[in-house]
Order: sequence, then structure tokens, then C-alpha cells
Amino acid sequence: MVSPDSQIVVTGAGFSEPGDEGDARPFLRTPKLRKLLGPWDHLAVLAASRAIEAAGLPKSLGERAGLYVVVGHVPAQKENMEALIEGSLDENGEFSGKLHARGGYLNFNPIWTFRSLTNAPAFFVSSCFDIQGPYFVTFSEPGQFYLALEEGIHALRAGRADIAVVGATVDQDNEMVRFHYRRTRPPVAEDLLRSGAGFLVLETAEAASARGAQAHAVLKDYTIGYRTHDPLMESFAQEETFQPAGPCSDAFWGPASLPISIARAEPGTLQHQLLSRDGIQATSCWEVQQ
Amino acid sequence: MRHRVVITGIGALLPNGNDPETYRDNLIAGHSGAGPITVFDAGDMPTRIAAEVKWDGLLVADDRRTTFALEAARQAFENAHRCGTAPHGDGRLCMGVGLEIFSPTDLAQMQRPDFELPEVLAKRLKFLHMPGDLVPHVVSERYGFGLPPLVMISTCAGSADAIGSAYREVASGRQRWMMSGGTDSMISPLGITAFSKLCTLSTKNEVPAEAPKPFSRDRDGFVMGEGAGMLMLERLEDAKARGAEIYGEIVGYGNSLDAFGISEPHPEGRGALQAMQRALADACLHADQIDVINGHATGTRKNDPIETLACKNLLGARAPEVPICATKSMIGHLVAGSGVAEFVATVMCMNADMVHPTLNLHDPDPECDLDYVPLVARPHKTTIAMCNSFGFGGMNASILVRKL
Repeated sequence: MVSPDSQIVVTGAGFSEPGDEGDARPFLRTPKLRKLLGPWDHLAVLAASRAIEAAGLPKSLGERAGLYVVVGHVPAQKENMEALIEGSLDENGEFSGKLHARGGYLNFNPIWTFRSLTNAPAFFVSSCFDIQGPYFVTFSEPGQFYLALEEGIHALRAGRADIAVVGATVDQDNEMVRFHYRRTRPPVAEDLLRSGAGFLVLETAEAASARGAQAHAVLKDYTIGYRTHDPLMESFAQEETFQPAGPCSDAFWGPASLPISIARAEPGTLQHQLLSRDGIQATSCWEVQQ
Repeated sequence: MRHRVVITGIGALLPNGNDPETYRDNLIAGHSGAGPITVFDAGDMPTRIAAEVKWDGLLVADDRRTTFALEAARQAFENAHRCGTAPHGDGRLCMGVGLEIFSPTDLAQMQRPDFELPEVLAKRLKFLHMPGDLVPHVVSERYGFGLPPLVMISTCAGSADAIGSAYREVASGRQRWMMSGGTDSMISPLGITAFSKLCTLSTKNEVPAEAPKPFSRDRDGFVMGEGAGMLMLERLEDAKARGAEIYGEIVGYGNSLDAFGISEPHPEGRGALQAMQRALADACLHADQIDVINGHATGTRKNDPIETLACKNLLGARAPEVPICATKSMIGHLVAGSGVAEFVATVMCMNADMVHPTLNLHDPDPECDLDYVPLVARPHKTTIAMCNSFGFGGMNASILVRKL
């Protein structure tokens, strides 16, 4: 039985980083999907697989599991971007719509469309773990993670889902994302940008207890606020602190910072405070138990 | 306590109408918004047609998505205030936004040795690509919303999910009123190229209005559309107390994940069926009570038969009797904006006691054998209407609206 104020616990948490030894491909529903699996999809599937395994859940979650995912800015490598306009530049090096329409468009690799889909990581996680329940997918700054978290909590407390898989994935080692953070005010230094994914399995304390699951962490409280602003006229520097300081304290992990930190936290209290570039102000307190 | 949620304002800037009433009239009259692409030179590309918004005003931030969203929001907000009173309490925004496409012109500029980023913040953020999630913040600032916007990126289901989430915010008592909808514009060299290379766009360039052919035997894909729609949602008791005009009551919402293919639906329409069933369960209604369905109806080879199958599984023996109309046959596919465009069509036609037609349906696909209201609108008393969006990535949303 759930109630509007059921306590929310994390029964599984997982993270992934580029270069770790995991392989997302065995989780794919069909080998055909391999060529569509981009770096942020790969990271998301790995992190989700670890969270689901840690929660002691089967690999097929079904209709009663919901998915709540935040992705960072759309990634694209320089060479892939440049390939798109190859054959479409005139003698002055300007993009020519005429040349593009005459044949330059043929250089477009359709895989790039899938790699640019902001909901692709959510698709891969849903299909790898057969998550058929409700969903919420959003992007791109860290504050949005709190909105996904809150949607997951609402779904659990309203009884729309028994399990909420909540996570974030970012691929920031590419020209498109580096360009974005060069142009923001203030900019984010390239050497601070990190790629990674973090996923949490959330349940109500009652549901976790009923199936004998141990809590990795308990959500003690959270707040979400907002600085109303026109992002085309005004921008904020991101302010993010973890207490105690952790692996995400001294670099920029985008919306993945909090779930990664929870997944990597030592037992004790973890406090997070955030002013996101999109004006979202949020805090949360987690009691990490194991 | 669950609050009843009603629509008290509607705004629309769509390929065949720059306001909700014109849009409704053109849908009922069967007037298509498709035509040759004018916003860029489509030259010899396989697809040279689209359903563009006919907008000759200034572009805010030189961005069609932002401009359309602000105009639709303005209409909806003014519409909800027409009675002379304002909604109670604070509002919040929930919006579906589209895919990310960059500007090839800017990319070419970046390759020049003397390239420098513009100094002005708005121009910097617009250069190369303007992140879609900026748009909801621009709209939120315009209306002074004090809570962060909920941003949905569930592709073709994005704005339907936005309406559904906004409905839940009000129904649950968390918000007194919400502004909700979506915007998209992918009619650009790379936008058209991307979908063209996936073989999802119609190449019937000669007669654009006849190109989108949902449920037809010779359908060959959709026509890219663009535009925005926005709704004002509030509690029924608040709307009544302030004398607001009520367009309808949202009674149910459900969404689901196919967990199957990224660009192909589950072969048995499982996800689509689940979304529709969840909307019905949320509304405490039975499938027998559905009077009309506004289908997702892309006009692609894969989707239309699966959607038909899902509707049959939902409606059972009544399936042949329930009209299913395809708004995309007239306005094309607005991707993230399609859910709200079709929801506005559903509500406006419901209140006119009409079902708009599915254009160009002269020769139905034998696998698509339901009543799709071919060619001509028909009078139809609707109490409960269902509006479906089944998107890329297997994300499905279904909304139920009741006439009051």
C-alpha cells in the first residue's frame, strides 16, 4: 500500500564512466541495435544494469516499472559534424543550400539521427530491461535531475509504478558539448567536463521492505526552487556542493553528478546543494546505508 | 483529493491556421497546410515539401520554435483571461520540445580561421544550435512562473506528455493552474535530410496537399510540419468561480514504453495499447465510452497498421464504429509539437460536434480497416475523445478529454 507521504528509498545504485570494463551490448534486445548505441546510451545502459542488479531485481522489469531519465547536451564529434556539410560548401567555404540540396545531403549518415535523439538513452534502458511503465525524459542541466527524481517519486506515491528507475547520462567528450560550454557565460573549462551516467532504483520503503530489499540510501528530504529568468538575456554560473565532498565535487558532470555521487557514496549523510545554469535551485539530503 | 481539470485557454500557431478557430475551420473544411518548402532551398532533395506555419511576423531570437511557442502561449493566456478574471494562484509551465539540429551555415563559419563567437549572449546561444530547453525558460519568464518548467523530450509524444503531466499537476493539487503544450520546427536542411534518410518522409512533391496519406495503401511517409500549441489548465471549481469559458475536461492520461524498437513500434501494438488502457484506468472509464479517437497516424508503412491493431484490441467489437481521424493528413508531423496540435484539433472539433476528415484516403490499406473519416468531415456528437501520440523511441502517450 502506498501513500502520498511514503518514505522513498534507493534500493540499487549504479554508475559508469568511459573506459570502465563493462559492456552494454549483451543487454541489447537484438544485435541490430548495436550500431545505434552511442556513447551516452552505452553509459546509461551500464549504469542502469548495475543499479538494477544492486537492487536485486530481475533484468526484465515489466509494466510496473517507470523510467525517469535526464540527458546532457546532445553530443557530436567534430568529424561527424563536418561530414554532414561535406559537399555542401561553396568556393568561399560557405554552406550552400543549393549544393546541399543537389547532393551534399547524401553524405548524411542516418545513424547520426539516432545518435542525436535526446530520448535514445531512455529508449535503450527501457528496451534492455523491458521497462514498460510510465516515463519522463528531459534535459539538459543538473537541475532537471531533480524534476525527474520528483516525477519518479510522484509515480511511486500515486501507485502508478512500484519501481522508479531514475538516472542521468552525459557524453561531454566531444566538440558539440565543448562548444556549448565555451559559449555559456561563464564558460566551463574543457578539462572540467566529464562523461558518465548514474542510475538509482527507487521504491517506497513499504514496497522495498515487502520484497525484502535492503536500502542503499534513504531520501531524507529535498527542495526545488527556481530563479525565473530569460536565458537569452541572463545566465548563471553553476554552483554545486556535496557534503562530504566526493568524486563529483571538482568537475562538471552535468545532470549525472547527483546519481553518480549517491552510487559512489560511503555510508553516512550526503547533502547536495545546487544552483543549476537553468535557474533551478535544489537541495537534497540522503542517508547512505550501505 | 483529486481535482477535476478543465481547459480554459487554447493557443495555436499551426500550418493551416494561426489561431484555434481558423485551425478548426480549416480542419473541418479539409484544407491542408502542406506546400513546397520555402524556408530554405530544397533543390533536388527527395523531399521538397513541408507543412510550414504561415508567419510573417518577426522571429524572436531568430528562432521559429521560440516564436511559435510565445505566440501560442500569448493566445492561450489571453483566451483564459477573456472573461475578465485571472486564474487563481501561481502557474507553472510544462512543455514538449523538439530534437536538436544544428545550423550547417554556422558550422561552415566556425571552420574559418577568423571565426569568433558573437559577443551578445542571445546570439552566442543561438549560434550553431540553440538548445531546445531554453524555450520553456523564455516562456516561463514571459509569464513570471516561479517554478521550473517541466521539459519533455519524448520526441513525437513530447507535447502530449506535457499536457498529461500538467493535468496531473493540477489534478493532484500541486498546482492551481498550468500552461502546457509544445513547439517544434524541423523544416531545415538537416532536419529534412535526417528524416529523409530514414525514409520516413513522403516524396510526393508534385501535389503537396495530397502527399500525407495516413492509412492509405499507397502512403509513403509523412510531411514534416511545424508549429506550436498551448493550453491553460485549471481546476474546474476555480474556472467556474471566475466565470472562465471551459473548452473541455481532461479526465485521463497514460503513457508507456514500448521497450522494443527505436523507430518501429512493438509488432502487437503493446505499448500503444498500454498507454490507452492506462488513460482509461486513470479516467475510470471503459473503452465503450470512447466516442472518437484522434490517431497518431503518421502515414508511414510500419506505424499505421500497428496503430490500427492497437485500436482494435482496445475497442473490441466496437472498433469499426469509432471514428479515428488523422490530423497529420492536413498539418503534417510536428514531431514534439504534434501531440498538442492534435489535442487542440480534438477539443475544437468536439465542441463543434464534428469530426475532421483524414485527407487523401481514397484507397485504404487492407490492414487499416477501421473508420478513419475519409476525405470529408462529418457531424458527430462527442462526449469522450481520446488523443494518441506514439513516438520515436517507443514512447506512447494517450489523453482523454470530456465535453462539459
